[in-house]
Amino acid sequence: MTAAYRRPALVGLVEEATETQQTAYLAKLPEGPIVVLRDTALTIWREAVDPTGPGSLGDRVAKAYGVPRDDIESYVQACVADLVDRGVLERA
Amino acid sequence: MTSDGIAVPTRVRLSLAHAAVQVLADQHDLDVLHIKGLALDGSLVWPGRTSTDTDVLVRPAHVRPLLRLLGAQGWRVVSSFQNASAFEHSTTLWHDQWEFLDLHRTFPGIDRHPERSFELLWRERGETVLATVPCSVPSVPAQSLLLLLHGARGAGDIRAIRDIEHVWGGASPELREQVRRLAEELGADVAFSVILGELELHRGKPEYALWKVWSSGGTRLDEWRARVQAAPTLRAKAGVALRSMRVNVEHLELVRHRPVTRSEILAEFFARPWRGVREELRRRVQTRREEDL
Repeated sequence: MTAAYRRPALVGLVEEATETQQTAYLAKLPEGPIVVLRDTALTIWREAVDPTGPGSLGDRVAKAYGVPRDDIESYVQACVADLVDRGVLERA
Repeated sequence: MTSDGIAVPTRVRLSLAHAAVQVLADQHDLDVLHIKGLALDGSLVWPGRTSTDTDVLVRPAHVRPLLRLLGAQGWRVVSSFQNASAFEHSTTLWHDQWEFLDLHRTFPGIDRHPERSFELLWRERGETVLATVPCSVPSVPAQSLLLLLHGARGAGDIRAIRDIEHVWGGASPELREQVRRLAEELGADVAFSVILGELELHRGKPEYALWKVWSSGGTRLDEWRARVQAAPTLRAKAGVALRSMRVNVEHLELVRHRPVTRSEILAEFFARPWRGVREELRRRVQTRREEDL
């Protein structure tokens, strides 16, 4: 199974985690800028590039937050479009 | 949706900076070794050691093309080779995203034959992954040697002392032997002698005075005299002597965090000799006091 999206080849990634917070720092290389992902945006990005998750991206994010998919579908799609626009996500 | 406005930790920025330089080098078949800081093997890093910039050593023949490419990517030179250090071995660049990059065309201590030295280091290179990008690094013995040579210029700096204690003091006999052989192979005998406490055995060699100043400290005049002495040819010596009279405008702007005016440059031109004389007088008074004790 392949993910619908992937991290582009020339995007660097540094992930950091504290007890309370996970953060991903991504940047198109060599030009940047650095894109910082936390919370929902980070969850959406991770689910988008995950080839193993069942169901659609919207299903998986909804499940992660325990909310109905319809409540967040448009937000998820908007977030994905933003991440693609920033160059840290691309269609596989 | 993304967390704009969140401060990026220095170590994250530096990881991405290293990766950015490596990607640029890979795209254009340029040979770059990442040195010091985050590129160091874990065994050479003492607890609490931090980094503030990105350092790379570039094959001499690839320095100019890389500088052109870096310029096209938004890096600007803030301190040129002539002004960044007494050894004129590196240039400092600034990028709004990646901040400071020290691009080395050679390395103090192994700078007699830069192309040959780089090739030796390149042949034995390893790899470290920074921001998920594989980055070329010198072998562990070579990393140790470079760190020690850097520390040898520390003149009592606490961080330099800790580096030397950790890297040399903590090295196994095998690693020490590898480092010694590499120092010999690279012609780093004078510089490396500082680590061994044997610099005086090299008195009389052209670079002795410079390593004396950099390892033990000295006045501005001491440094300029040593630079002239270390310069390999008469022409190079004349060049150094001439540069000693010029105001380092780049440094002035860095220190004052702004462009400087012509009158400020003129004021600095006249102030410098007096500072040099005052330093020299202070040193002589100090020496006399110590002799009287």
